[in-house]
Amino acid sequence: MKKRACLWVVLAFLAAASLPAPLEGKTYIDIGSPGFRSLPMAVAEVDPETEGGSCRDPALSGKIAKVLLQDLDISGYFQILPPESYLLESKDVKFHPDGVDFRAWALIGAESLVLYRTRCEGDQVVFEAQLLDVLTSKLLTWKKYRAAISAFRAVAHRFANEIEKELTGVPGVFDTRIAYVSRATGAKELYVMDFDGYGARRITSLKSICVSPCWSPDGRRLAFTSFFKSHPSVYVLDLAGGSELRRICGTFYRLCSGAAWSPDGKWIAFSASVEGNSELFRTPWGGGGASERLTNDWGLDVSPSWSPDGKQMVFVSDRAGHPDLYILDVETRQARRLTFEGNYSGDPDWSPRGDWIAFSSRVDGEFQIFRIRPDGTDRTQVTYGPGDAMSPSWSPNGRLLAFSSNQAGNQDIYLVRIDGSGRRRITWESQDDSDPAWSPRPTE
Amino acid sequence: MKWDLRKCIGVSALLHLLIFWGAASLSGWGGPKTIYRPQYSVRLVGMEEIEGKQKGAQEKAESAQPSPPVEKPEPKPEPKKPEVQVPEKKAKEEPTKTAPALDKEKQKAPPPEPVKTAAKEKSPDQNASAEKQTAPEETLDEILSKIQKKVASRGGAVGAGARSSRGSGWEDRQAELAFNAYYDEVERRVRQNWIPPQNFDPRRESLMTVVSLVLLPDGRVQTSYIEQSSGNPYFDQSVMRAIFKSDPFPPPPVGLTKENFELGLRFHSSPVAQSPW
Repeated sequence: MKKRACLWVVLAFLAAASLPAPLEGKTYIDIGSPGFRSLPMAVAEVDPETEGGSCRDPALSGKIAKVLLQDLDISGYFQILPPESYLLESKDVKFHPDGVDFRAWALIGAESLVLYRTRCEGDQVVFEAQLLDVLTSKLLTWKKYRAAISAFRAVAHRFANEIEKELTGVPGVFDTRIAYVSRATGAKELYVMDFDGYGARRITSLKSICVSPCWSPDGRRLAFTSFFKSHPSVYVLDLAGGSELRRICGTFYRLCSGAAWSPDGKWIAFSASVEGNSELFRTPWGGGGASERLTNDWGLDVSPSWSPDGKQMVFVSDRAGHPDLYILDVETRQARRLTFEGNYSGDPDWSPRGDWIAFSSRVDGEFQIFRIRPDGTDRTQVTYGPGDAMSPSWSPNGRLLAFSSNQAGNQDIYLVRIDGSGRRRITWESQDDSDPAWSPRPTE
Repeated sequence: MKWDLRKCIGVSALLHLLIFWGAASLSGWGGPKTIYRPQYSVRLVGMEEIEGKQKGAQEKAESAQPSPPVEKPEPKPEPKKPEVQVPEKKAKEEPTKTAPALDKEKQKAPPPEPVKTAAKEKSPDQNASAEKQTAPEETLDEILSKIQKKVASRGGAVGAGARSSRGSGWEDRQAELAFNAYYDEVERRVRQNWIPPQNFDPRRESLMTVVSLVLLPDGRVQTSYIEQSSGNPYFDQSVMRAIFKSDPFPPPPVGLTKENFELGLRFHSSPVAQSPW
């Protein structure tokens, strides 16, 4: 018996020894991110003669493409390859994904390809477009839009949104709007325009001074400060029309201004004067309930802006001697100072992504746009002169800023990417345009 | 009898367990042994003493044949946690960190930037071109063997990775150098072709996608698949695009690899250079 046991032991060891030798190790190479790079993209029209010929305006297809290219350019994600570099003639480009010669696009360095065609049916335009991945020869998205010819810009914006969503994971902001203040009529009235400056329309006729517009989170209302009843007060306007202006400050507060809608839409924060000193308050929107006082100190507290989670608020206070940014914990009512540099910081706007707070600050006698992390680090200048840049407002994806600048003499609205690139003027009135407020994404 | 049988079974079971445990730990059961390339870990091998001679030797190497550069840093024997002696950023900016056995052109076109102390051993070409007048006093082989002795006298294994851990011969180290040069070349190529997405906050999220590749001898990709996803499909997609663009890869070192060369690439969302979003 013992012998047999020993035999088993020996056999077992033999079996172990005959197991495959230790595997050769596989080597792993670490590759760090190269940082931000734009994606090379080609945009080509398919069959322009046969398709576009059906439109009364032969340039319509080109107009749509121009809007599309402008959107892609504003986003900063894409590098549009010049059409001169394309190896294929427009007539050789096939619309069906199976007919696309991907090598011809890969050779010029394109990673993505947009093919589109436009035709008209009566008063309507039909815009069909594909987004293709050149490297993997895959169709990423294929959309067909039908709209009134006059709405061709919206069609291009919609597809630009699709492209950005498909390639970056976050939809673009090309169908958003910007509310702003213009003196076009002589008085300071509120206007709303597309994010790229087109389609502006006036929405107030108060013949007074309206400032500091602020969108409700559903994009249906605007809160703003107006002086039309001699002293400033915060009002809410329904953009769909119908209801009248609604004053939200109550009767108690004088000098009430600078509204900010909480991200859940339940509160409107504002500043109001109490015993000659400006403090922050919030008042419930919709349901009843009393206003709540949020700050209580000897300094002036103004310009609140909520964090995306609604738990904090950035505001301006001169409690340390000159205007600086502070962050208020809404629950505990404790405030901490955020900015220490410069002797004048104001106009804070908390990014919808939560990662940055944009504000204006005085440098060498001029106001410029800055951004800072909510923890007070990474203070970075976004705009540079000439001229003042003020009132920054974040795009819903937290990548672009709208602001006003007097760079060209009078105040105008500009866009800039978060890294300071891609600065672009979007209003061209001879009167002042200021106080931009970027809308949330439209709710479907 | 009954008791004996039970005892035998018990002992046998115990032995089996022991054997399997031993075999598993030996052969890396449950996943192949992973060797991370010690990307920026360097160990200086007495450069201060041999520097002058090496310059001469390097010049000779340049004009004669593509021999492995002697001054390639010897990576630490435990490459899983590389001890970074050169600041990572500097190392990345240094275009000539590759031991240029496969890359003769690089040697001929030295970048104009000054030689950094920490990266001295990485840019022999600069030394070579700067002091071409220095006459070589010793042959390359002599210098190589000296360095070998110096390194050996320091105790410790000097090779890195599985290859050199099994043998300590000169050939292994040559292979090691060739592989490191090759890995550098792959890293450079893939990184150049990679456009990571921007739909995450690099400060809050740290993403990593691991891709497994099998390369044919000519560098073409035979198979590629995501071994470990980052959880962010756009990040994974961007990684696969980079692989597509990099295909064909540089051919693996001739004669040193099996027919199909297996390689892992780990794509990290950091460092994010100058991108605030």
